[in-house]
Formats: sequence, structure tokens, C-alpha cells
Amino acid sequence: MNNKQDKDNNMSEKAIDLALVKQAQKGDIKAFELLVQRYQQRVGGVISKLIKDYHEIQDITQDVFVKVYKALPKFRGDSAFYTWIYRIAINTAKNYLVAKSRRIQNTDIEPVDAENYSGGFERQNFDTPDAEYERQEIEKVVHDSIADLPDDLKQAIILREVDGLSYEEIAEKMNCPIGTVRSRIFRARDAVDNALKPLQQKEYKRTNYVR
Amino acid sequence: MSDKSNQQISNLMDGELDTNASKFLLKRMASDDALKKTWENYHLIKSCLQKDKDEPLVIDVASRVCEELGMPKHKTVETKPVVNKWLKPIMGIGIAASVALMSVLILQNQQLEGSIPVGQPNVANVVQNLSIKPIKTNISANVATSETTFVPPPSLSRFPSVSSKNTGANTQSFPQNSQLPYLIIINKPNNQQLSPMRSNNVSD
Repeated sequence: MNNKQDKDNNMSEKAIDLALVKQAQKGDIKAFELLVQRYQQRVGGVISKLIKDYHEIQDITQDVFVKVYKALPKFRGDSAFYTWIYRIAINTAKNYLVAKSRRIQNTDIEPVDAENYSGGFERQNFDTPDAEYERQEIEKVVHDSIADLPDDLKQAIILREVDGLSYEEIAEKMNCPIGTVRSRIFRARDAVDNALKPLQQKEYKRTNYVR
Repeated sequence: MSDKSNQQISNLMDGELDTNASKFLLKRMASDDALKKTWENYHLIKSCLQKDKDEPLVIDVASRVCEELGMPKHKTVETKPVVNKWLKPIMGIGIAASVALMSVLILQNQQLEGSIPVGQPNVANVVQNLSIKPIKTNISANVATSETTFVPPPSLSRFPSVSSKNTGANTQSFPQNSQLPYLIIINKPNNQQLSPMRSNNVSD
């Protein structure tokens, strides 16, 4: 009964998005930044289905969020915020490909180069070694840290993030109170976050030095 | 940044935090870079665990977007000890006040030394009578080479009872070449007639 009451009082993910959107609609860019941080990976993932070049994915993801911010006054909250962003992301990526194909059609290709010309839209990977290394490193740290977790924390975070179970379902499955589930999931995230921070600090210093 | 805040972020992103706490935390996060970084990393962990193998991670798009929208790029992760905004002016005022106080004290001290009314009792007497042990100072100046007698008139003395009780004839003599308890600063008065001090063998 208490758990049900708690659940009713809790702010749903949709409500969190809506609260941030309302703030952003008033011009609060910091609130909008939280939305970008929440969805940038998912948007990047969607775009990567159409475009393979890492730098293009980064640029288009950035472009999507700028468009989202400018279109925020039109968002009424009828659909979920992510569904709305998803549509904008797909349209932006498609428009980008159309524009790129036009650019390519208008480009004269020398017969010598024609042999190596791949057509333009195929998935290509033009990652710089640094960017590729950085991404691999982050993924490795996340997976290694999860693997090093104690079994109870590992099971809780995987049931939540990979299987997408609710806290109630995890509590049932792990035969423990919801409070314990909350604590286990947090401790797992905190451990991975602590492993990530030194790497991010190193990257931050490196990229700022390069700039 | 406390563990409690991080735990609240973890609960918030899963919809497990009550409405009031969520609203409060969202406001806090918007203005706290460390909390924002935790929020971003927790979502990054989620994406790493959920994504397909060929999906790349997008890195630092949030700060690029904010830059393009006109918000200055914030520094990530690195945190500095923050001095409260309201504390800075108070600290400034405090420093200025203490400097002013010091200069007033120094000025007052100088004025006192320069304008001790003639005929003030010798400080040495007063201090001796109050049984405060003064610091002994070797004086080799000409002033102290001869026996010096100070005769403060009781009427002008700030402590007439003290000075007359212990010095008998209101005189205090220092033996020649002995260690004097104080460095005596003698201000030559403008009007010689008003001077109650007599110094034997001390040439002007």
C-alpha cells in the first residue's frame, strides 16, 4: 500500500521532461541542457542508423537539439518529449543526406577518382583515432566497472538498465525491499561514475590543451 | 556534492523520487555543474548498457548545444572551493576596517607620544607601582649616561597618589650607566618655563 502511494507521489519520467521543458520554454537554457544530457545518446544512436561518420553524427545531433530548442514553443506535451525529438532527429538526418547527395551530384568526379568513389551515403567510419579511442575507453570503463561490481549490485543495475524492469519488479525478482533496490542501483551507478570521472578529467585536459 | 544528492539523481532518472523533491532537485541541478555531470554520466552509463554495438557514443554535445544557444561553456568535473558571493564584500570591508583600525591606533600612539602633557608622571614609575615587570633595555644613548631625575608635579600627574606614595619626594633617580627599564623619549617642550622636568647633567 505504502509502495503504491509512493509510486503515485513520484514524478514520472514524462513529468520530469515536462517540468524541464516548461523551464526551457521560459528561456532557461540550463534546464534545456539537462534535457540534452538526458537524450543526447539516444538521439546520436538514432542518427547513427542513417549516418556512420562520427563527426557528422556529433554535428547532426547538435543540430537536432538546436532545432528542438527553437521549436520548443510549439511543443504542447501531447506526446512524449522523446517521441517529438525522435521525429525531429529523423527529419534532420534525412534532410542532411538529401543535401549531401545534391552536393555530391553537383560535384564533378574525375574518372581517376571514380573507382574509389563510394557513393556518399554508405556508412563510413571516418573517426579520428583520438575520438575513436576516447569512445572505446569510455565503453570499456563502463563495462569493466559493471563486471567488477558485487553480484547484488550488478544484478540490480542490469535488471534495470538492460531488461528495463521497474524497481517493484526488481524487488520481487531479487526478493528484497524496494529501498534496497534503490540503494543497490545507486551504488552501482556511483561506482561506474567514479571510475569514469578520472578518464573524463584526463580527456577534458587533453582536449583543452589541443584547442 | 553529497551521496544523498547523487542517490536522489539516481532515483529521479528512474521516476522514483517524489514530486516535490524532484522539482527541487531539477532546479538545483540546473545551476550545479557537479550535479549536472553526475546526471549526464548516469545517462551515459544507461546508454552504454543499452546501445547496440555499432552505435557510437556522442560526447559533449550538451556543452556544444549550449554554446550555440548562447550560454557560455561550463567547465566539467573540475570543482573549486566556492566562496559565497555575499562573503566577498564582507571580507573586503573587514580587511579595510582592520587596516583603518591599525592606522588609527598607530596614529593615536604617535600623537600620544608626541603630545604627552609636560609633567606627566614617568611611565616607568606607574608601571613599577602597578607591579608590572617592564622589559629591560640597555640604553647607551647620551641621554642615559648621566643620572637623570624626573620631577613630575603632583597637580599635573595623572596618578598623583601613585607617584607620590612610592617615590617619596617625587623623584626617581637612575644610576649612571645602569640598565634603564624604559627607552625614554624626551620631547623638548617649546616653552622651557612650563617644563617640570629637570635633568641634571643632561645638556640640551
